[in-house]
Amino acid sequence: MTVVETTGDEGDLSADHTEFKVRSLDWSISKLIALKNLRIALRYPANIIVWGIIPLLWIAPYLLMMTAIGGSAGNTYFSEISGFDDFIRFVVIGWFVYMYVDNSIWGIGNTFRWEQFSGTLEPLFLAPVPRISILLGGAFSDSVQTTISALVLLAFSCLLFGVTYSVTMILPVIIVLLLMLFALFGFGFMLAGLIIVFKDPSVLTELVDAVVFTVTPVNYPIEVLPKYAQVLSYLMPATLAIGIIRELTMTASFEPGSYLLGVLGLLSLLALFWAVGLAVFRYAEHWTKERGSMGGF
Amino acid sequence: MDNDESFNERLMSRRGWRSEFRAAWALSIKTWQIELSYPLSILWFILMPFLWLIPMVLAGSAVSSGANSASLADMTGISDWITYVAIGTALMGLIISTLWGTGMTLRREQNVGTLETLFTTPVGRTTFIWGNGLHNIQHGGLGVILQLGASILIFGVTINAWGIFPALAVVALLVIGMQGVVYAVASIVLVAKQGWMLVEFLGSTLVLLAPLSYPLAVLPPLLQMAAAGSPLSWGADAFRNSLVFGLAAPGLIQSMLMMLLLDAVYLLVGGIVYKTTHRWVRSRGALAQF
Amino acid sequence: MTKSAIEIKNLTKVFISTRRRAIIVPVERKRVEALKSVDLDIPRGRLYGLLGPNGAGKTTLIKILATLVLPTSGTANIMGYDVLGDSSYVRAIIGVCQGNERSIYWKLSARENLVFFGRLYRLTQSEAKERADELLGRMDLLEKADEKAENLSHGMRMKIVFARALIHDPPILLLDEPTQGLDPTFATDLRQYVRDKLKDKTILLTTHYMHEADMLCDRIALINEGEIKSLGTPHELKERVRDYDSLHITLRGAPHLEKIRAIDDVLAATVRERNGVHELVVTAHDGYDLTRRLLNMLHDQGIRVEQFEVKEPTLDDVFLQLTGRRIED
Repeated sequence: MTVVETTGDEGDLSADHTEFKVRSLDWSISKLIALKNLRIALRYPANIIVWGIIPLLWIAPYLLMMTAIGGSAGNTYFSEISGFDDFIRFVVIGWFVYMYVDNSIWGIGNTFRWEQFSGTLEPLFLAPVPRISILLGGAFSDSVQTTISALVLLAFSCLLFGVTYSVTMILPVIIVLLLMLFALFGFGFMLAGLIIVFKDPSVLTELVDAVVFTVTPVNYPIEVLPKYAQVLSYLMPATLAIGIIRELTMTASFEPGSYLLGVLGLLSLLALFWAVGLAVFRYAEHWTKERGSMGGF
Repeated sequence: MDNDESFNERLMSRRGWRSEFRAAWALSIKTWQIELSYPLSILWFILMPFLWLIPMVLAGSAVSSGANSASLADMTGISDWITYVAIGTALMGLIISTLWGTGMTLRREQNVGTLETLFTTPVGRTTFIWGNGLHNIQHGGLGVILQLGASILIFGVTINAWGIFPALAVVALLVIGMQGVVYAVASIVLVAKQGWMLVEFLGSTLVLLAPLSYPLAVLPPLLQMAAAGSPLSWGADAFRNSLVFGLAAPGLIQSMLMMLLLDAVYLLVGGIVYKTTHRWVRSRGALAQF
Repeated sequence: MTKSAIEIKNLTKVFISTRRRAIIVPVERKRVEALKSVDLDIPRGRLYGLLGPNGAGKTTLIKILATLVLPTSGTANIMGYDVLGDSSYVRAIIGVCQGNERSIYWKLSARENLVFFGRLYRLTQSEAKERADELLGRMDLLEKADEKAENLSHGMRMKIVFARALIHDPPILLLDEPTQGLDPTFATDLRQYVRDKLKDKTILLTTHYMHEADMLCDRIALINEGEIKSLGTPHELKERVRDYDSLHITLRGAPHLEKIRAIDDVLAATVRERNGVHELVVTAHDGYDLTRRLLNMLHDQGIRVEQFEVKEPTLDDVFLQLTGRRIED
């Protein structure tokens, strides 16, 4: 229709077409998607706050059980194996960091699923933009929301359980959190790929969440895991990050050597996760396109 | 089936609880068929009970050097903390499966577009809920057996065989009481777009207030009082005590009587909430929306 | 037992939608009258059509009869059963087919779907299997009976949806846009099936396809903005505009509609734009007399006429005359 009406402007149209370039990653699209998601999220501000409070109900059973089993001698044994004197402080900060892992699994991994539920997946897929940019945009906005939720969780935990943390090392903490966050984006891409192939997001997501949660030292020190699980655990960026952040916030000491080593480790994991995540997602996209089951789920 | 009119009339004459039970059974089988059509579901079904128990056992082993806990023994009379936690977590699997399963199923029917069609059939409105409940009991029940079996083999958990029958009676009473909560969950799912938050909150609160992985004595006094109003709190202790102490389980009769009383209240309140909600949703014409 | 299969009296449905901020705070309330005092009696064994554009209230009426939506006021009885008080009896005697392939389970096979729904309608397992196979046979689907619905074509899935509505052999069928989005061949098959094989059923069919209503229905209710504007056989309805001519004019450029409506003798006029081409439809008592004046006016407006036709009236013309709208709007 428009072609007939704009025949006089053909020169302009073709100029537009020649300027259109296929990109493998388009940051402006990611920004656009992130802003769109945040705008929608802000329409329901209560959600972000509540998602900060609900995890308190998940933390509490662990703390209560550890209190019941450990009794008065619990902290002594705990400090022997973990090096930290208070398991409640240890657990709360672990959950704070784990909120980001949870987000990479439930938020980023399931981005397309949520778009499908709201009926906007098809128009998004029809747009001439790299799908990975859509995912990345979703990851940005989810991370902003997670940060708010995680801070709410931390504030309420401090109030309820009477724990405190040092904030003098805030900058190194933020650097570590950011590195972990970007590494987790790669993990989210990988999951998004698996979800468009396996199509049953709830089961896959639950399964991945449960395994990752078990091997991540959130509620317990890594030392209680069997050796093979410890190897798996160190492959998760959250393990390194939780370890460093615990040192910084619980002991308030900064050892440049071990910190740099941790940062290097996180950087390597970031590169690894992005490479694997992008490869898995692209392969999954290709796989589903070949079988014509992209929109199917 | 030659005479068309009489065939439909014959079907019309089949009423009552038997026909409702048959419909509920068909719902339960259908959900199995759909679940098993996803290969990952089978893996999840087998692994799920362990994936809840293992982090608990790991967290426990961070504060206890051995299998026994003097502190736990003081509070409950059970010193083997792994047995205590394993039995509680197995029951938690059943409860969560019952609570979430029904909400999930309704939600899935809404998402795939079959909910309205189901509601055009003559099946009783509440049958949809307990029909799904039937499936979740089968699903969750198999999970309990699987988890307890593996806990015995892997963690050396011990169970008193005489306690299995009273434990089953406790589960039956618990499932009835939980149906009341399930009706409430179903109402939330039918009404609220963002209902998952409320369901999560409801489920997590019930689990928090129940002695599943810790005795109620470690809760603050206010929460201990609130816990007394949940059938799950009474059921969890009675279930565990039956499996640990057998027929001599302490407080078994008292717990069962309390559960009977609470079941009646929960069922009544849940049923009313569900019926009212269902009516409201129909008046809004919003059954297919989510 | 009552003589009418479906009796609708004074049925009204008002939807009130509330826009909220942050889930709770109401910002705006909107009142939409989807049905306004609808009266309709359908005798047994008849096929009635509800014809109207999107949003006219057809689906709301079907959903009230199917007990999915509660009316605001008025009554509706099916075979003497009240849709409010005897809803479970109503559901047992109606078969509902919504033109939506998503109303079956894609993860189940055609046979599994039919057996499952049969069980919900109180068929025994063996009855359900027998009935499922009978219907699959009638729909030419026996070969695909054990194939998961997700692997079947759109048309085949719609056949399962249709068979599902028949599983308990209901005397009443509510067909809500059953051929919407179907390929023409299958839509024709389905219409043929309804006409030839379901003669003994009482059927209420909603559609916005005029030829479908014309071909199938004993009587047609024209519905617009929640009101039944007219009811009659297709012939009767068209007789009402027999005295009128319908002018169909294809134009390059948008005509000034108000000026056309102001011409003496013009009863109704609508215009629709497709791919830059405007289709003007004008109803008048004497089309031939009007033609010259109309063409002159278009010429004065600088609009090129590409095609011009005086047609026999259709149901769309009846609708246009009654409501000023076209059915396919």
